[in-house]
Amino acid sequence: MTADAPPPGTLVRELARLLHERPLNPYPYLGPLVERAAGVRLPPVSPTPHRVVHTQGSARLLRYAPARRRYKTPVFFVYSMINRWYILDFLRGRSFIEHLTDAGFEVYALDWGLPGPDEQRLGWAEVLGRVVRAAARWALRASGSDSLTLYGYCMGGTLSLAYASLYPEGVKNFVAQATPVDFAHGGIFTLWTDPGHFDVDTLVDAYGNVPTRMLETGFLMQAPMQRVSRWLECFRRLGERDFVVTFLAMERWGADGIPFPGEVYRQYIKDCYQHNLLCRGLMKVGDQRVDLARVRADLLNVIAEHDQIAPPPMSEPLNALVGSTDKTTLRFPVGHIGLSASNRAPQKVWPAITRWIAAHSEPWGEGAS
Amino acid sequence: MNDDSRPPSPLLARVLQRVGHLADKDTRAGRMFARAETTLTKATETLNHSPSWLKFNGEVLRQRSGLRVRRRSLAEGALRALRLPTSSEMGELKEHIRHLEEQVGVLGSQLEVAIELLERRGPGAAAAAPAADVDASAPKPARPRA
Repeated sequence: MTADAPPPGTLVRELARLLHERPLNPYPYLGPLVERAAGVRLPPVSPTPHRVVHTQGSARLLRYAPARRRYKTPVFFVYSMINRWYILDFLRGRSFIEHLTDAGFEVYALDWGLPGPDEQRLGWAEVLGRVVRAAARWALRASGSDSLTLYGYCMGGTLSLAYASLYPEGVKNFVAQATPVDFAHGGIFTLWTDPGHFDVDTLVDAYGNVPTRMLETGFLMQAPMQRVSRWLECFRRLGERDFVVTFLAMERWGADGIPFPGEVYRQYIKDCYQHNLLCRGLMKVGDQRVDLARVRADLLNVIAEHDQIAPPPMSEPLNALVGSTDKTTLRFPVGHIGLSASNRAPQKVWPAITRWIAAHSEPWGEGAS
Repeated sequence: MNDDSRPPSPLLARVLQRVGHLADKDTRAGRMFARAETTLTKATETLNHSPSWLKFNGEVLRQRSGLRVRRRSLAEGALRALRLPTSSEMGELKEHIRHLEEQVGVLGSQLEVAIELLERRGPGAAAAAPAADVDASAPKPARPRA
């Protein structure tokens, strides 16, 4: 045994920890084996160079600067609170954020971090009024622009819509990507969270932040066998280096879920999934009503046609609900994550979205950089 | 795509490939696996939509959550009897600290306004500064889960 060898029992303890913390996701068990067998090492998460410009609690605002800036209006991403933002900056050459910075945009992304006990008490009012608002102000300030493109993805899109309704100042454009709006059409998740059998109050009271394991169970139950067959396919294709790296990076991201902040989850389930208040203009954040008609920013509604998490009928009603005059819908034959990480995304999805954002952004003045 | 590499393990690769080929549709085992996959997927879908299954699951979750609340309450009672701080008390303390942090946040906003005013007075002096300045002083971000 060398001096660097792990002490006896470490492997057993590690296995026990894995069994205790992640009984469902195969990545922590199989990922290292595949890396070893294929002789690959995964690149670090979010490979595009970035800097932290602001932090608040567990959240932090990241700034991705372009090599040559062409647009004054920055793009500000608000991602879902279930997974991590870095699917937007997936791998070098397959990163939407890299694509945008190459096109000359300054990009900001809100990383929710790892919510802890402090975050479990934060409701929508605090998250929108304090965290998102402060991040948006910092994005404006650091970019030297007086308006931005607010880019919400999945549940982050729902949060961003509420934000743009309550704090419309500075929001020039709004991109809603795979965003749940009409929760009556939420598919299996609307069924599972029905108040007749799902008691969200007891769950949040007991756990505070909703544990990752519970959220994972939901996704696993959607297609349990596919999760196994995906890994078996990877085993067969161990010789295809790019395939293995992309597969492992995707699984790593999938396994890197974060606990859902308790109070945000409680209101999300009750007001959105169980009573569909956002869509009906009856949702309240703090003492303010969220009226989507107050969203007057130019709107791009990006829909994934094979989306199982936010099926198209869930996102389609958005255009009729907002007060914007300039409204565009782009549909792509991909799934929920396919918008950000599929083979098709860099060729078909991102160029179309980038063209729309560019056409709605202020150019960066000559010599201004 | 990825510059980092290390020597592959041929033995491990052979074992994994052998396991993977069990699900290859060109083999008999693979065809059986595909049939099992289809059957199980259909069964899961039926189960996922079954009212009695959903009701049962909801009840299990309710019971588990209730048990957890009761267990915590008992533990807190015991800690109080031993005059030790309980998790609720620690929570209150954290809330207190959060309020203090908020006050610091307000001071930060005031500082922002002051910087803005300074910038207006001397354009160009601090135009590109915010990101770099804040970056240097930003606390270490929360560690992502592995």
